[in-house]
Amino acid sequence: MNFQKVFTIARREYLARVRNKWFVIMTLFLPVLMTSPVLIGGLITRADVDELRLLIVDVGTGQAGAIQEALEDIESFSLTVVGTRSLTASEFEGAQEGLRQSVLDEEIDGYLLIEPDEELGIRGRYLARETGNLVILGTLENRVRSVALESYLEGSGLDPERVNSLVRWDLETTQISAEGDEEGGFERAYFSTFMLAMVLYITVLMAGQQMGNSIIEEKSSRLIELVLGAVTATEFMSGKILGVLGAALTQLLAWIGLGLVIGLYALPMLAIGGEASDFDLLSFFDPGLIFYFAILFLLGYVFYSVLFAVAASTCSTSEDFQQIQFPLNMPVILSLFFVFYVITNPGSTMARIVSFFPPATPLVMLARINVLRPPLWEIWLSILLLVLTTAAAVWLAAKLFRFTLLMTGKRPSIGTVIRLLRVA
Amino acid sequence: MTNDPVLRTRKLVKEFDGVRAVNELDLEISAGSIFGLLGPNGSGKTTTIRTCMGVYIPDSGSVTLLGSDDPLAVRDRVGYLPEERGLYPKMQVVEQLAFLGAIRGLPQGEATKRARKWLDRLDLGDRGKSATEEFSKGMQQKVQFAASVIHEPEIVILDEPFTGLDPVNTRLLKELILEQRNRGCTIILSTHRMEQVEAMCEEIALIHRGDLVLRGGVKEIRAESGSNTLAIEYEGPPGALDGLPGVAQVHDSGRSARLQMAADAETQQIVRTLLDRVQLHAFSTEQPSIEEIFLEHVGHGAAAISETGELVEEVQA
Repeated sequence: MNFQKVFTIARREYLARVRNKWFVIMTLFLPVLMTSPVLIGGLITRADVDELRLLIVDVGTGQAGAIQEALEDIESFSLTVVGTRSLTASEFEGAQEGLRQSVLDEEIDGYLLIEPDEELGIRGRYLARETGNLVILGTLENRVRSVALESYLEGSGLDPERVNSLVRWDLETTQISAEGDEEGGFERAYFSTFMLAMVLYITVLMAGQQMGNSIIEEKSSRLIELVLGAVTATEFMSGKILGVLGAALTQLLAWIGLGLVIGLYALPMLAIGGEASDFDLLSFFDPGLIFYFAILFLLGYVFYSVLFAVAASTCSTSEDFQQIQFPLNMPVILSLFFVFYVITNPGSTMARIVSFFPPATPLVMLARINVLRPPLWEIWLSILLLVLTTAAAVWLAAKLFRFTLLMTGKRPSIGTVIRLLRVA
Repeated sequence: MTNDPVLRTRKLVKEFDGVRAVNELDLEISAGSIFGLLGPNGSGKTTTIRTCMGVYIPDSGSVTLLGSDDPLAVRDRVGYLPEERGLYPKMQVVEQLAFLGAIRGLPQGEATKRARKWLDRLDLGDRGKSATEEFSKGMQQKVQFAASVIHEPEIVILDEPFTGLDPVNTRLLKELILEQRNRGCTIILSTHRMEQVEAMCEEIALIHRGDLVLRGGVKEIRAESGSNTLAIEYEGPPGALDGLPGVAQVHDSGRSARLQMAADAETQQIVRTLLDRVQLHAFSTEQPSIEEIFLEHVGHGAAAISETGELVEEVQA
């Protein structure tokens, strides 16, 4: 093996890839695309109002003052209580049209109507031009609820604070693993697993596809003849895979960089985060997770690139290649389905077995690591199996390429391929 | 330069699924010559070349290339222009040429420098940054030729280098090939275009169905075949040349013809018969052309050749 030649092939492959416009688009936009549910979700739940001018209209509860007090010091948006009015039911009948008009005339943005209720004590209604903002509604609801609770409990000797806490009683979770127990939500693991799996899925399939297409291009343009006079099939394939890998690493680093920028700057700047959504983007930047993701990403990338390369090397035209797309994509697609199963059943025997099946390891083991970290030996055994399988695939591929790369005409049968392997 | 052959094969055998594409081939090509490797399509030329360059491993026999038993060890001293050739369509021409030089062992910087020089030489200097797909087929072919010699090899194997070139570019390419020869490079010209062989090659080998059927200097081969060809210019009805006594084969071009005389035939007798049948404007006896010698050796089995050719293709596919 002549490494200068391998490097030359790798260099060309790398440059051809990173200069490809789809590579640039994927590299720049995938992080944005992946975080867009969070960004959009954050933007939706964000109270994007300059100032909410609110009138409190009390129709016979006598709690207007308490509610006004409760609505002070709201942080997530700026609320000004422009005043309180205490009316009787019949007075309200008369005032209703006037209140409506003042909202329409934008003298105020809305009013909070408080009425007595036999069961709940206080019934509340928010009348405003815009009633769709979940943050405003949620905040108003919480604050008025605590006033209602307080007035109900008054004189009972019960502490309203404690009752309020009890009402919001939550089941806490701790993820126990050999590397250390971690308190945290299921949602976090769910979202990050899903997103990392999607990233792997898309890039691995795309890399494989590109590898296939570039080999078909080299075969159908007969360029391979020129190249194979100067380098061996093994050097050629090694160079291509290295080039593909270099491009993958470039992409990975760009994503990590962009992810950090989005996570550390963009989200806080948009005031999205902690309180506003359940989702914490920074949970992606668990060093352990990134470490395993990088390993599985690179191995998966190489494994599937080799697989697609072998398949493509037996084809003469892209039509031939299209025909074998489905069986080639199958393991990756099935792995993605399996990721959903793993998310809900991370400890099951099925999940464990499948994660040791090398073609499924990159996606499924990654999901297991993130959801319910398996013992170290399981992780490394699966990685070892994947490395061995990849090495075997590279070895077989090198034997096959000598024949298949120079083949033209119809695609060989499986039988022919096996025969070629025997004689090679 | 020594007198040792730059390429020697001994009983070279390459089989595909039991079909012999190359059958116990003995070749010897001396340094500094232009050597013609001839044969009909599917005769095993390309397989021979690939085996000699180490792309294929021979089933038996040996290849000695530039004194080495391992062709891969000396591959950077060899240039190759395959018959089926292509370039990366999207890649800049100058990068492409530099890449093809670099995989032949040139350092990247030197490869780029030479690529620019070659493009200037081919009058494509101002288009180095264009994508290859914007080039005409003829231009691409010139670039491919440049790629095969950019590393200044000691041997260059050119497989049908003139295919698809117009007369101007054909002449340019001939010049470029001679330039390489004058530099001391051995040229192996694989082709089935006989007029080029006659014009350029000093020695030839004729391969048919994997067998070497003829080998030697062009002059010697023609001389050995004797002056048994009668070239005529004539006017006459169709079929007038059929069944001439003493004539083994007729290559009729309409107004002129070349008649291959049987070994024991007498020229006088044939001319007399001709005078009876057609209006004869001119005649002369000549040595057979390489084309005629070629046809004599392989022409009779044309059907069998294509059969074998397809067979070889299928096995490779």
